[in-house]
Amino acid sequence: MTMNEVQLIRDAFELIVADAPEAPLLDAPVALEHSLATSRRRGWLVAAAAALAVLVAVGSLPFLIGGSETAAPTPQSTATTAADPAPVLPADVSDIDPPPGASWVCPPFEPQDPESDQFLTGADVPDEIRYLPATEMDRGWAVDYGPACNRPPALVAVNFTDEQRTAADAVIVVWVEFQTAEPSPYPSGIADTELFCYGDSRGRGYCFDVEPSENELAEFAAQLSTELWSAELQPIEAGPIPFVEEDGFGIRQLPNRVEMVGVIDGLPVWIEASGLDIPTLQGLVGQMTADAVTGQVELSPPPTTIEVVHSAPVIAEVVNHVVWNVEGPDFSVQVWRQPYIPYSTSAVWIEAFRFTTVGDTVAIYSLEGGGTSSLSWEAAPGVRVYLTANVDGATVDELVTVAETLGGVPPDHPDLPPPPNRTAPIEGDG
Amino acid sequence: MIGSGESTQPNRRPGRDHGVESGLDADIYAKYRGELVRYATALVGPDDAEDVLSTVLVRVLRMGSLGSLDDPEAYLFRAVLNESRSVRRLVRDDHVEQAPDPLPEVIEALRRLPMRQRAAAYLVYYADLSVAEAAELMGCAPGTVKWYLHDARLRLRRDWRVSREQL
Repeated sequence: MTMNEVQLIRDAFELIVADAPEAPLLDAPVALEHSLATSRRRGWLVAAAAALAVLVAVGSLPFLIGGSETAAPTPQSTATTAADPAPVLPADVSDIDPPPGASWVCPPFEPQDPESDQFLTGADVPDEIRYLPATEMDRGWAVDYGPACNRPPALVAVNFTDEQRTAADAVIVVWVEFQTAEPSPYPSGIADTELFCYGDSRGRGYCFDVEPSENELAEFAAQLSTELWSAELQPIEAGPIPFVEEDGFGIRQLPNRVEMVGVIDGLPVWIEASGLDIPTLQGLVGQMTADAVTGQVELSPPPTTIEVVHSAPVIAEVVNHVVWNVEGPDFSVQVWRQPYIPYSTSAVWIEAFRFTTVGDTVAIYSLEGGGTSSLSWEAAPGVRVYLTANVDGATVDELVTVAETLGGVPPDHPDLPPPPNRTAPIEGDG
Repeated sequence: MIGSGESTQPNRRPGRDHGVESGLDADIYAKYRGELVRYATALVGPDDAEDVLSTVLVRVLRMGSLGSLDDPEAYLFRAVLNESRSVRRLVRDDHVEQAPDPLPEVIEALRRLPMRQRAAAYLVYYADLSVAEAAELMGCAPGTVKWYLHDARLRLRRDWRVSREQL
């Protein structure tokens, strides 16, 4: 963002807040009456949006930054409440020591202060992530977030619903020692307010301060739905959803997935599954074997109802976490140096994803509520691309067409878009 | 216009002094109410800002004591943001006012931003808070604020009719 753009935003806000009304007084009873009357007048939409439409993490989070904070490479936003406690984990998971030489343990590294994120432009952008689509683009730059631990999942298993493998209705992803400090996904809310909360299968929670009728809830769900995904809202408790310990595993049922945390053959694991009930997942986990040194997890014997699409040793590495951004009027591109495991991104919200191909690699298409669509694929080994349409409702074919034009750009390429006006340090970009 | 007793000059930086010695809610609220009403105005416009703040006050009254909170400032800012989202739902499609010159398109683009993105833009770009400070007031992680800002910029650039050459 250029300084001129920031100044425009400042000037605009200046004009907006210039009309600020007088703040109501705390000790005036009329404030209470006025507010209640206002709430009644607004009807259910007030309640619907009131509050706390809380977005939780969707998509897998292969980067561990600082050992506890995660950075989502997916286009989806993540918001949590401030007072979320850490989940309750079985003691033998948090206490377990890795065996000597375990490949899934990240080497020690000093995470970068978030305030020190740096812009990279021109030749400073690593060559391996410098990609451009053959379409009009406005600008390109990279952000250097410093070192991060890069660790792919140990196992991915999918239940495809068609022979072409364009859709699936169930998926399991097993991570090694993943997200041990994951925040609770649901709001504790404003402590004094009774909330009526509902979750959708995408894992998002919506809380109302007035209980909606069935019709109102259906209308709200319709607003959330997309052509790929029909939102159904189920009542949930507001507040953290704890793990329940069962047979040595911590288990919790979220609206969109089941999570399990525990130890398989000495290997601490974090399991996410959607489209499966808890007994089915427990049965499959009971069939898993693991190598505590390599981190590889296998399903043995292979189940007949679900297909293992990835099972490999987990090799953790510290990488310089640099993200290349290119923005254009119709599309935006982000390129991450990150291992690409087909199908794993859809782990927690399987039903709104479709699978296709870009070149000879599997690509994942998603369509968000509001018409935002994106495509993710592997442009080169260890290089993952996220292509997002800036126009509503872009189809998978349109995105694939753009994706297939993506090509590497040498540092001195004349078509490389101009860098932003600012240089390091940056704040708020990324 | 700012209420009596408040400065009429925009104070871009919300108060960061947590040393509120008085335990009285009124004192705590009075300390921040100017910033809160400006924040609410930035989020929902002047017509609804008072309603938003009034509703937040109802919650404060129900709760009993702001003084018992570790960070009442953060509580109030989060409550304003949460409550503003209800108003945003109502005005998203039909409450489009003619903005004053000279920045009507920018103002309109800001008003079309999702609420949390607008809040992040206000706190970081207007109120001059750091990403970490904005995250504290919004009740989310700094990385989340960064993503809000990133996405907000994409939307603003798409929406602005001001050509880049004119900037």
